[in-house]
Amino acid sequence: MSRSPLRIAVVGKGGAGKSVIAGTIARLLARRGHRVLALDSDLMPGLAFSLGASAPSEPPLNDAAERDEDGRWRLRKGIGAFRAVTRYSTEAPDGVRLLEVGKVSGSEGRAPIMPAVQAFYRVIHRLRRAEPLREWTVVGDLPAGPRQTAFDWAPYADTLLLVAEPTWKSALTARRIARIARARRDPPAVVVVANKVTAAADRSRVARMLGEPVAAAIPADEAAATADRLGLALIDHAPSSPAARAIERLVDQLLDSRLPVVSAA
Amino acid sequence: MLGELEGKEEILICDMEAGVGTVLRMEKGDADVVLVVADPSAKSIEVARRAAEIAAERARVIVVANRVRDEADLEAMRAGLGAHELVEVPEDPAVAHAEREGLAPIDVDPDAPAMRALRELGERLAAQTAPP
Amino acid sequence: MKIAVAGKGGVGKTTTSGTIARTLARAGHPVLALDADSNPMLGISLGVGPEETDALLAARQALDEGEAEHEPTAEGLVETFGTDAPDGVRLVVVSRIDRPDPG
Repeated sequence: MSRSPLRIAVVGKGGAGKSVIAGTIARLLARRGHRVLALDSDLMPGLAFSLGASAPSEPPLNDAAERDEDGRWRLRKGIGAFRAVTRYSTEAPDGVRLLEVGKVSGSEGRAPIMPAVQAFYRVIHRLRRAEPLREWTVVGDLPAGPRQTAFDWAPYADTLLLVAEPTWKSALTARRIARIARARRDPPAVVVVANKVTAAADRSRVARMLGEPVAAAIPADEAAATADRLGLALIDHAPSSPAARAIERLVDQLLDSRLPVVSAA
Repeated sequence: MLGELEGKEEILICDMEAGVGTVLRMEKGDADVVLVVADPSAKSIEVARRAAEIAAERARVIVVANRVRDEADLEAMRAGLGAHELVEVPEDPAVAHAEREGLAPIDVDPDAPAMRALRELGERLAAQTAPP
Repeated sequence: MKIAVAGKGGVGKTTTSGTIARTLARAGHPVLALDADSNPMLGISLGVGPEETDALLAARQALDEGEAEHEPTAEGLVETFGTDAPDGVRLVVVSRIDRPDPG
């Protein structure tokens, strides 16, 4: 079983199950000995719940960026990817480090989150070249839809885990994302995961709707829905549930590279 | 965008970008009603709570408590969102079927429970505008 | 009357929007449905079908790419890109994916 670091970004339509899958994968990899950095670039809550982590109250990265004399954003002096991670990430169970862009609470308006957004974007673009983080596994949870993929919010990713429910909206979204991802100069591998599957035929349905192979199918699961309602991590609330077990098998596949991986078209 | 359109003769309904950013950017008068939709998950209730609070400063807010399966779901949503006018829409196999097939739920079964709940909401809202 | 629909992704915003639009149209009201999501799916919930819904996004993107300096007005968009959905609902995809705002 491989311990060389994975670099994964989880994408898909809203509600498909990205955060649950990303958070569960992060915890599982950490349990297998990986040093895991979980990245949350969504302004709405999600990943902290599925990691079983307590979220920071203020966007920690608000301190990390500033404007220069021309009004352009930059990371504050002395802050690179490694220092940003060590200083601004918070601790999650199993030793996972969580770096969040921050959440919009709204009472103070949008302005206060902007430094954090600018800092986060710059940090993730330095991850690949950050020598001290070379051995870290990175699992990123992106917000719903194709927007962040289009704006290069997963430059660290070797693999894009594309999560699709067996619905047309989810499939269309996945198609859009795959198209955008593959248009990049150096496209990541695309791995499709069918989630909340209810029928045996769902896996092939999703494959047909997307026009590409499905690497794994995760069943719809009462326990997962309950975990969601309670705001608990699936891996803590129901570690032996069908969904959790299926995500474990997915992790096995990711580590053994025995996936029907669909790279650049 | 909503602010630029008159909405005098027609009913305008705008499906906005997910999240709180949209209601933050709204000004009073952009919308008459903001429907804030949530499902029984803690994270969606949290987003709805924030969105409803902000939207209430700008328009009338109605929370759509969607995909309610049981009393526990309803309780969770009331706990987070009970301060607002709340409409309950039950989890509905007709809607699930519509989503899978890429259809409008109203074309699958216009009298399904979720459809009845939304029709009722629609009628209440329409009653406040000029008759057709 | 102007109705805006908000919420976290995946909760049923689009299904709610589409269903209310069709319901009101069926009751005889003229309805204009605006899809302001950067991942537009309202067409599906209105009943125009997945492929047509995808085609509407492509048309919107073509506009964005072709007329960068010529930001269309709201009225102009409705005029040019209004499409017919069942029960006489008029649908316009108004979203722009090219806004760099990550939020």
